[in-house]
Amino acid sequence: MAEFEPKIAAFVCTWCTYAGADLAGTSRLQYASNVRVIKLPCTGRIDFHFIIKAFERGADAVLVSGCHPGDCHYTAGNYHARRRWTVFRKLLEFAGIEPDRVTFAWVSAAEGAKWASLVNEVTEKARKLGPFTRYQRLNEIAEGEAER
Amino acid sequence: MIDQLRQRARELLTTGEAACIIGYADASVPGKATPIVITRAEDADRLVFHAACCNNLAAYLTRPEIRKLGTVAMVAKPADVRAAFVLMQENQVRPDDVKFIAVDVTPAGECTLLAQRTREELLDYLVKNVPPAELADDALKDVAALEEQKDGERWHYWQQQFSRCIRCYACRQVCPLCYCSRCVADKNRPQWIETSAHGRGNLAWNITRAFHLAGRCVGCGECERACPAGIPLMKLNRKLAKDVRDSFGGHAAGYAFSGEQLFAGYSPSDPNDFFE
Amino acid sequence: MSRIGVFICHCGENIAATVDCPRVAREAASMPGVVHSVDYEYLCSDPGQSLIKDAIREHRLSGVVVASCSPRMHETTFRRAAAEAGLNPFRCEMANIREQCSWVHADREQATRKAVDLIRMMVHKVARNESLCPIKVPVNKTALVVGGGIAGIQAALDIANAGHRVILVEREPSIGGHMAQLSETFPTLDCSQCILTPRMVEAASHPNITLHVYSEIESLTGFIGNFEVKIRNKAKSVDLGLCTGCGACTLACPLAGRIGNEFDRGLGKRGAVYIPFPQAVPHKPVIDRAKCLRFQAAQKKGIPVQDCSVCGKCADACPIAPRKAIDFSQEDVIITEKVGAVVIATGYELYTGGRPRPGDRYAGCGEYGYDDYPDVINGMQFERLASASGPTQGRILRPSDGLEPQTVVFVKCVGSRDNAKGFTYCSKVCCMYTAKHAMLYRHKVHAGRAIVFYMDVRSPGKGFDEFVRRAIEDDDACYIRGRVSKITREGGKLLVQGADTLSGEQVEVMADMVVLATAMTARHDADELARKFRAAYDKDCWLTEAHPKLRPVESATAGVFLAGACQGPKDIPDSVAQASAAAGKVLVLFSSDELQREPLVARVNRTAPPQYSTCTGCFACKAACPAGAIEVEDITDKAGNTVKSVARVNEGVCQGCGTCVAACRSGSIELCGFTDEQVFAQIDAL
Repeated sequence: MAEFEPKIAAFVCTWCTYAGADLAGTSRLQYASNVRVIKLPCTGRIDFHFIIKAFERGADAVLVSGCHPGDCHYTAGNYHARRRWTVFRKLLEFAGIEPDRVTFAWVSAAEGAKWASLVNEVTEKARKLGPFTRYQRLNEIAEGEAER
Repeated sequence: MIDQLRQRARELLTTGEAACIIGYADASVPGKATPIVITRAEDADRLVFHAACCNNLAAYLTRPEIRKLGTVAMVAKPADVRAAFVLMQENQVRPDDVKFIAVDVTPAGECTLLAQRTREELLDYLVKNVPPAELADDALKDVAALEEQKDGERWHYWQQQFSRCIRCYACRQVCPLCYCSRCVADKNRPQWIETSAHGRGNLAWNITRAFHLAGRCVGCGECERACPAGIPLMKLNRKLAKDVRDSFGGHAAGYAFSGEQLFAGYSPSDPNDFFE
Repeated sequence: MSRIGVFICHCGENIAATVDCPRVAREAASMPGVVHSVDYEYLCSDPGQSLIKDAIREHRLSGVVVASCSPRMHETTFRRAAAEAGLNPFRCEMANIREQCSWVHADREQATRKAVDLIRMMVHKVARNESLCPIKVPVNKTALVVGGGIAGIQAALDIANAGHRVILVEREPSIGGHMAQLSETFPTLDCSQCILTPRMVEAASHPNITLHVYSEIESLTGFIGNFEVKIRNKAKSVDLGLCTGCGACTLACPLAGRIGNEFDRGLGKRGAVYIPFPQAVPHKPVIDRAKCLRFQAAQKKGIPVQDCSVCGKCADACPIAPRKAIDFSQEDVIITEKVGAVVIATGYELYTGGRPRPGDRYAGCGEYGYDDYPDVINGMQFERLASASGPTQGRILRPSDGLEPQTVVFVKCVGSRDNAKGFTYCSKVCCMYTAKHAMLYRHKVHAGRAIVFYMDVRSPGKGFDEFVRRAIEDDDACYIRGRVSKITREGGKLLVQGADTLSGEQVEVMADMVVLATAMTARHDADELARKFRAAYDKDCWLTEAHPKLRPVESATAGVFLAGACQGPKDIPDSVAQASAAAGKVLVLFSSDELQREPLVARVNRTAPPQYSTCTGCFACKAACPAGAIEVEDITDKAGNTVKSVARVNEGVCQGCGTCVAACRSGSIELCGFTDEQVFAQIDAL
């Protein structure tokens, strides 16, 4: 049986993490190919709805990454994001979503190597957890393919 | 007590200090109470207050028809006062437009009219005498019990609860802090929250509402009372109130009527340990 | 309906070696809204761009996805190409299938599948892109230069000579900065004051430059082209309009010669009313109220200074009539000015060389005895000794007994390159000025011995290495490779204990004087200043440039530029070069009356009356906005009554971060270019 390949959505900021991911590319660092990056100007723009919708659309794990505190291109967007995630991740956990399915990280434009190892780490975590069958079941119920 | 309450209401209306009183009246069902808005002093006799007066009347402060009337006096239990304070902090009511007829129920069940009238006096009263009900040790016991379960069990629990949700939005309608004229659940371009009452949409809706209330919920419990499907909504709200308190230096909603909203600000020392 | 064109680049072998581009093009062709899908060798080349432009025209494309390198490389290129073909540039998006795909995944199947997914997400996004037009803001062609050292003066002169008004603000009573304190400068040994003072005079008398000395920046608000600055003119207690700079007051002061002079780093003395140095510009005194007897007495008694009758000899000595130039009642004045650009040229401070004081950012080097022995001095103090107008008229004399030192030890890297207790960076100028100090000492004391303890000798500039060689070969400076571990006093001399790593031996020198080449540091209040200007700073509080290689004079905030040592340790030629570079950037900004900004800004929605907007007026966005770009808008009815207060985004200030969007519970605010619909579409396509 083929190994389970998790589908991972990544919401990243343009100025730090996206640039760091580019640096991993220019350095030809190799990493797992399961991540699909959605580029946003700042982690401050990331709404919690994105995470829920990503799970609804089949993501097995979500990665959120931006500039280190103090380095935000817009000075404070990542601080606002951090405050939101502090509470939101606890809500997700309370609702029964495995904490390892959502990862938060700070990756700077100089940290190409960190991006590569972060992607590998998140992919492995998701592989171990397996497909997000709980949400898949919700999809089946919603589409009328299964009973409640 | 009720005579004094009615007398205060009469005074506020006749002196013109308030254009209307939002209070409780006896409902058609005996033993129950219903919200009432009176504008004439002679109607003050209809006002009641007893243990069954559960509605959080601050929910009416943001109604356009009430706002048009100008100054409003509301019969307010401590949680309702807290709610009104949050509304002031969030620019939904002008502080000078709200007068309070503050009431409380003792643990023995005795209804009292509070001597405190101004916002400053009531704030002082709340800070000294009314700790947040949603953060009481008893109140947090069931939250702790759920936290101790495995995530699979918790998921199953909430799916069971949310499966009964019919998306009537009664929880939203009774909540004084749910005042958006176009709720994000009604936004369909794009539709972040599906309106259909299945597990997927219900989870998105309940998570959204709980998160939007984080740091703002005053623990009145009306949402849970109003829910026709008996979903334990306050478990979610208490959980987040606890996390907000623990993560942000003891913050609890409604103990200030001015100042920065919790998620409008940040601190360089906010928790950071969950970041890679 | 969308008519989207997808263009997949081979980038030679960079993409094509790993990603099956023809297959990707085939799969893209069947994506929703796609009417044209091709792959090509080099899309950024001229023929490649023509391919795209022709396709836009031929297929009447309403959106373009270019799947190639990172948008950080070529987004501007392809957006310009789209615009040239008549398609609004913001309807062109890029899918990164190189840096984040072909270069990082070896498996062809996986890389190809990922490329298809990334393109599909962009196709879905582009279908919801809107045409956006650049925002125009007016530009106020007045510049603010903060700091009157050589960098600030240079920048001010360049901008003023181009015909624009400059406001130059300097914290000290005189401009000139640290360069005014130097004796001779490397590598030419020409006199620092001689080359600096003409510039100082030019800046002070330039018709386009308004000089504020003894002043600080109170606040800066606004945005590029449209800043408002509040300047605090600190009370000098001297009416500059009346004062002729005769100096009679400074001679009459009973404290004259009793207070350690900052300009001479404590080696010289001044009074409470003083002109900082003989070549000061403006050559007018100020009263140091913290030391002045009259001000101190008034403060102790709790009475206004005008009612105090203590001293006042300076006013008595002032020859101006009928009103004296000394004005004890003078107060701070706040001045408001509107400017279009800011150049920060606030310079540096020097680590003294001793133990740390409260608030210092380092652990300090007590072992060199700086705080204990008067004959252990730092480099700047040596400059003052060597300076012809300094406290010893240019003679190198020991501070302890005024005798000429016969052996001087120079210690380099004091505080710099020190992971343990000091600063991790190299201060860049010390190797050069230590060689210079050794030469100056040997020129002045012909029989003297100059010994330099070094780790390395860094002399990379033009004529720099030759200069150091002169010190060693012509002026017999003795260079010992090793660090000094300890300096103690023995009798009237200093015992310097160090090592010579090249011979592997311990070295002891009985010196008459020790000069420490101490680290250049950021100003102690650099972080506070940076926050006022919304400039970023690093862990050592040097102001951070926008890009370390390609944008060295721009700060993180548009319209605020950096010049000189505030950005990092540097010497005079580099400071001057950077100052002119910053001035150049300002002049680019001032070259047009209007500035075009990218329209990727936030917008609060509007709906039909009576709702007007779904915004509830909670203003969480206004509090959250890092740029302060959100205002209150009162919506009024026909009679002028305020019906509703909602948020409004000032598109001239908005930086486009989107924090407001995520802060809004009702979903009433959007960020152009990253709208909810666009992001939803990308997630939908996962």
